Amino acid sequence: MRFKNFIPSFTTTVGQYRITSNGVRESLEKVMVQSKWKERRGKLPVGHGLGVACGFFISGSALPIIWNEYPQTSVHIKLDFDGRVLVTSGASDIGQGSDTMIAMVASEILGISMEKITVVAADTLLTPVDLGSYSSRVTFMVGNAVKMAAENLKEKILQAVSIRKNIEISEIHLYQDSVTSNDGKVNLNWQETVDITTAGVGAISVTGKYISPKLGGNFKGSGAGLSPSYSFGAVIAEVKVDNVTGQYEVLHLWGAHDCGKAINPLAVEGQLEGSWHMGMGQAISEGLRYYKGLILNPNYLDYPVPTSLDTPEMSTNIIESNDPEGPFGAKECGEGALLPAIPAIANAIYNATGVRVNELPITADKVYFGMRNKNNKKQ
Amino acid sequence: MVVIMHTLNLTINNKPYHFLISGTESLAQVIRQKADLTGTKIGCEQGTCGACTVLVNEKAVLSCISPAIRYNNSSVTTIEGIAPLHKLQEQFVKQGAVQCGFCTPGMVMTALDFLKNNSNPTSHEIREALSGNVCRCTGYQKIVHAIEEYVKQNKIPETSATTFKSNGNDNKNLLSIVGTRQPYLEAEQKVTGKADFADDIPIKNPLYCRFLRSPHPHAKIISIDISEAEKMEGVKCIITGKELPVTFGVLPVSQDETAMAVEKVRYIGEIVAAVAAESEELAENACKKIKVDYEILKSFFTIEDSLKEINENEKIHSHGKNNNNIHKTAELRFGSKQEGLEKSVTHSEFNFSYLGLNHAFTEPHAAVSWWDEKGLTLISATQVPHYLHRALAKVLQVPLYKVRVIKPNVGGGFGGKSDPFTHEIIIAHLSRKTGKPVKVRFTREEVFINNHGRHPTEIKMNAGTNADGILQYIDADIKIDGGAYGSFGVVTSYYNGVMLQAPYRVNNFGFITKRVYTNKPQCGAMRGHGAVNPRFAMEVLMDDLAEKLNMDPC
Amino acid sequence: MNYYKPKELTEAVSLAESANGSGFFIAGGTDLWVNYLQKNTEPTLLIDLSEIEELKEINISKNQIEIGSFVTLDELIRNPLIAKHFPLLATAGLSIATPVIRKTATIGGNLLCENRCYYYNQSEFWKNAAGQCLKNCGEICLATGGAKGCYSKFVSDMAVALIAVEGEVEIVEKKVIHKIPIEKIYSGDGIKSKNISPDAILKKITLPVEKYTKTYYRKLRSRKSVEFTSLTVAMACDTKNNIRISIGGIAQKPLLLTGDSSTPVEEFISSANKQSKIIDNDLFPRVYRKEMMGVYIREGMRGVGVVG
Ligand SMILES: Cc1cc2nc3c(=O)[nH]c(=O)nc-3n(C[C@H](O)[C@H](O)[C@H](O)COP(=O)(O)OP(=O)(O)OC[C@H]3O[C@@H](n4cnc5c(N)ncnc54)[C@H](O)[C@@H]3O)c2cc1C
Ligand code: SF4
Ligand code: FES
Ligand code: FES
Repeated sequence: MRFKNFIPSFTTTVGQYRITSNGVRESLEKVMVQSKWKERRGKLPVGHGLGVACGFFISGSALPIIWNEYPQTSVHIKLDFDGRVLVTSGASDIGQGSDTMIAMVASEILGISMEKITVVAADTLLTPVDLGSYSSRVTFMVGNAVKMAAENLKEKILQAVSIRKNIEISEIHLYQDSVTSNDGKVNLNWQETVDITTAGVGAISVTGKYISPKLGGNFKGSGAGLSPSYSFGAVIAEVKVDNVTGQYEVLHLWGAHDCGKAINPLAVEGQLEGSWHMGMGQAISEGLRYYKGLILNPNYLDYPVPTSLDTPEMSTNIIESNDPEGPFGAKECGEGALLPAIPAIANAIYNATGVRVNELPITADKVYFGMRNKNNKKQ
Repeated sequence: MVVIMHTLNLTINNKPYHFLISGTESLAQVIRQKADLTGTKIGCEQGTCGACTVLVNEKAVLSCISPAIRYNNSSVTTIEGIAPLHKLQEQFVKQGAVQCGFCTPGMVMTALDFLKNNSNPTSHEIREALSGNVCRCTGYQKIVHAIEEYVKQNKIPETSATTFKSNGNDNKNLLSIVGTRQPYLEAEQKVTGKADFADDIPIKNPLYCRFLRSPHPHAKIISIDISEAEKMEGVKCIITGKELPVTFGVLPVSQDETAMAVEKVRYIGEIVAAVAAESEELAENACKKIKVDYEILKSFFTIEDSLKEINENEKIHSHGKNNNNIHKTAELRFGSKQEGLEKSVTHSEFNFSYLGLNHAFTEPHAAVSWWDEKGLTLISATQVPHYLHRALAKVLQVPLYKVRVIKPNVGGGFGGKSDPFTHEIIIAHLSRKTGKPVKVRFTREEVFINNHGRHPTEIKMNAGTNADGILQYIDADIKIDGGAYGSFGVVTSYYNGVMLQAPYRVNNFGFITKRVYTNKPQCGAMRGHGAVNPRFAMEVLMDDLAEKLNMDPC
Repeated sequence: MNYYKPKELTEAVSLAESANGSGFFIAGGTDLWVNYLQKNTEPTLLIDLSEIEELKEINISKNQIEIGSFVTLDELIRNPLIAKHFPLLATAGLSIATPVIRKTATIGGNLLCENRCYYYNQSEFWKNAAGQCLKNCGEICLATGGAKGCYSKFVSDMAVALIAVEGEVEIVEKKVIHKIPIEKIYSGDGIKSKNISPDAILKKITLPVEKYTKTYYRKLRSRKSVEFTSLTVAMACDTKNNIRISIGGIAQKPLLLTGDSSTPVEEFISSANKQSKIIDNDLFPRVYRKEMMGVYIREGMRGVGVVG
């Protein structure tokens, strides 16, 4: 039924979101095949269940929080005598790997190795503004800005070499730390390239920025959720429920997420697995409880974040729909993946027991009493 | 009270140390504060997260719940002692087992200790061994794989050196870096414990800040008496809300919070006063001597109560136009529900309810600030240096060009470090007043009190399809419990609805969200901001509709 | 705070006696120190037991096994004698706390760890805000709203397992050594949960060997590690089909039910229901824990070979 309802790529939604790349179909197909959905669902041993769900999320809020005309992000790159390429950005790496992403994008565009690139980030004195790590905006927006800045630097470098060596720009390439010409006559190593580029002008500074396109409708509230692109995903969960106690175990999660393009697949997988794990926490155990306004469980003991033993193996799939506006086609992967994990687990529990628990977290007692009520009704 | 001091001789990482300690200091405190080995992290101080794991006489120990005094003449190995880069650490880096890196030193120490007794573990045994170490970033999968890989490598004879950088593509048109598996740039620093998080940054002669927090959910502050506390030894400065009355908030429409409670407190744990003293303990003791008189007000704890009509003076915030504690109503309608209903043959409707969540990142909030000729510098575990910069300038009433915010390594955020926070403003002010650097770190409990997590939510949602299973309408009635302040709540209110318009095509779609204020710690943005709870509802409805139509839910 | 690390048991005993109740033995410290951090205890004197070698041994004689009180849970789990004769203890050990904590936590400390409650195991700030409860010299019980008594939860999982297999402890109290069944340690009073005096040292645990051949153990908690119990049921059946059922997490002390294979399951369950004092101070609701108590007893009876 989900396949019948999926919104296509390159369309608008009822609330006038511009949908561009959309890998939801591929995501769902992938997890269906991997989990052997068709073959196994309905034929599992007693107590086992398979459940599915899909997800959808923004990849950077198109509107800044504080409305002004400053770009959503601005990136500077400096090249000086020493050949170090210094990228400064306000982007806040909080463990999601954005500094690494910045270095990779710069390295890719410039054609120089990552070790020559230094990222200085998130210092409001030294780095230009980035709005922050929220709304899954960093790879899309900062990635684009780094790309632009790196392209600007590359152009300056090639221009300088072209003048010095008296050769058409189109004949030379910056690649693998050197500038070479098609005819092989020019072959400069990185330091030579740097010397030529900085000759007479000193350190070179270039900038890049990201400004979201104008999007959305003309009604009050139309700005909420506007994003230059959207991420999609799907999760299938398998659970095993003890029919006598309602206690259950998540046996496996198959997940797929359309992140446009995985600039760093290692980091993307980490984001996806972390998201599914966190989703699982909300599904199975986590929740704040209160006593007269006091949190009853303000600690890791009573606020149950799933441990390594509670967390199943996950099959991690990256779907690449190549977003037309994302840097190298990339879009978000740090938040959206979480969404389908929770309902997939709930639907799997339903599949196993015939009980819908619509209160999160789905603790064993809710499943148990659900099963009992169901049996009582039957009788 | 006489504090009896004891001598403590330790060999840490093969180096002898001699300390003078009180009997109550933990081994973690000694390692971090006295030996300056900050690779050992403190995540909970209750034995529940494993971040503080070290080896004492070759055996893994949680240093946060171990009184240091017990280990006189013992030999301690911390993450810094595993030099230079153990093959296991190398695998952590290579396999992407390091994200924020805050859990990593503890994970490595636990794993090394475990592998000593079991050099050929199964994946389940590895998971068992790590089950006391919380990681909020990785879902454990890559950590388990890193250990498995290390075990594998240990079994086969050494092959050629591992290379991290796979940058060897000669075709100039193909991507050569983008799309390759790159360990984080700083992963090696993190896995060796060298990476500095906010509380690890070496600062000369800092003061330490602790807070007096409200024990009441909703009360008027009648008076605050700091005279006794001020006289205490080591206390350098005490501030209260009146000094910093300017409001702030992450959204321009919700500037409803002050650095400390000014006229009244709105939740248990709201900061009423702050002390800067020569040690955390002195600051904490001084807080206990501050006397506050409160007049208790009626409290609101549930969505239901906050929706009710009430008297003006019962409102949690006076700025609202309504006679209730509703903070925001967001409503959008597209198409016509009537039409959707008419075209549908199957309907599904459920009520959903959700407890609130905390981000539970492993690194508790921490920050340090000082002033010099350039103005204010604040180093903080934040996701939003820019918004924090603006809030600091606004509340402290200094020009934007006199503020500098630096984000060090941050031990996870997930939205929980994406607001400007009161503690950040407070220490900035304390360091301005004292002329000294001021440090602060939260306990795990304070992280929960600060919260800003996912809203407790109630959703009534219905949807219908035609006989072919094509969606005809979605309608959602959403109520979210925002706690005492606005935070991102206006955005959350919209996101709870608007995120339902895909990935399924629906032409008749409407929602209304009401966000209420309650006298509880505030809620804000958390991973999947606003979209998570309605998505759960929607996907359950899809499952139900498919079943009613006897269709495969896929 | 004063601190001593005696090498002899007798020295430890006299130190404790001299402190008049404000001295504390520290074994692994994993319970004591967390309670200290929560300001539930404020020792003025710590007597560290870690250098008293005689507390660290596991010995087997012809019909009994002796486990020194300072044996860590990790050592216990790995001990081949235990694995052979008392797989129940290994299972119970594995269900306690976390792998790293188990390397420090001792069996003696486990038997004597303090009862717990949502409203008691909180920070000083929390308890001040909530109002101190009976267990902290307050006027009412926050969990029940009443003032009749404290229903703090008995949480030692090892005690539950040991009681099922008729474990006894050797205690040195006022220089006298006596041996009592483990269940006798516990008072049933949520506030002062132990019968023994604070200067009594638990020396060792003794168990009959080869008596209880069939055993059962199950612990209810929401995660597979870290957490304290919401309900622990241990059961043992001896060669003459006598049955001992021990239950933790559902009252201020462990319950012990005895019978034999002819005792109807329902009788055990109704007796457990009568004696338990389950309140809502746990992640799982009261009713669920109560239901599970019956379910586990039933399952246990099947587990030890009695079809109920
Ligand atoms: C995160 C966490 C999870 C936990 N989970 C569990 C769990 O699942 N199940 C469980 O049962 N426990 C659990 N515990 C509690 C505790 O770790 C264990 O009970 C442990 O076995 C206590 O042993 P210890 O040696 O550390 O005791 P200590 O803390 O040293 O001592 C506990 C008490 O016993 C006294 N004592 C210790 N030894 C002696 C002796 N020989 N003679 C006289 N008095 C003595 C001490 O004075 C103190 O009052 C947990 C603790 C933590 C921090
Ligand atoms: S049961 Fe009641 S009296 Fe006992 S610790 Fe809990 S709240 Fe306090
Ligand atoms: S276990 Fe020691 S800090 Fe968490
Ligand atoms: S990497 Fe484990 S908590 Fe962040």
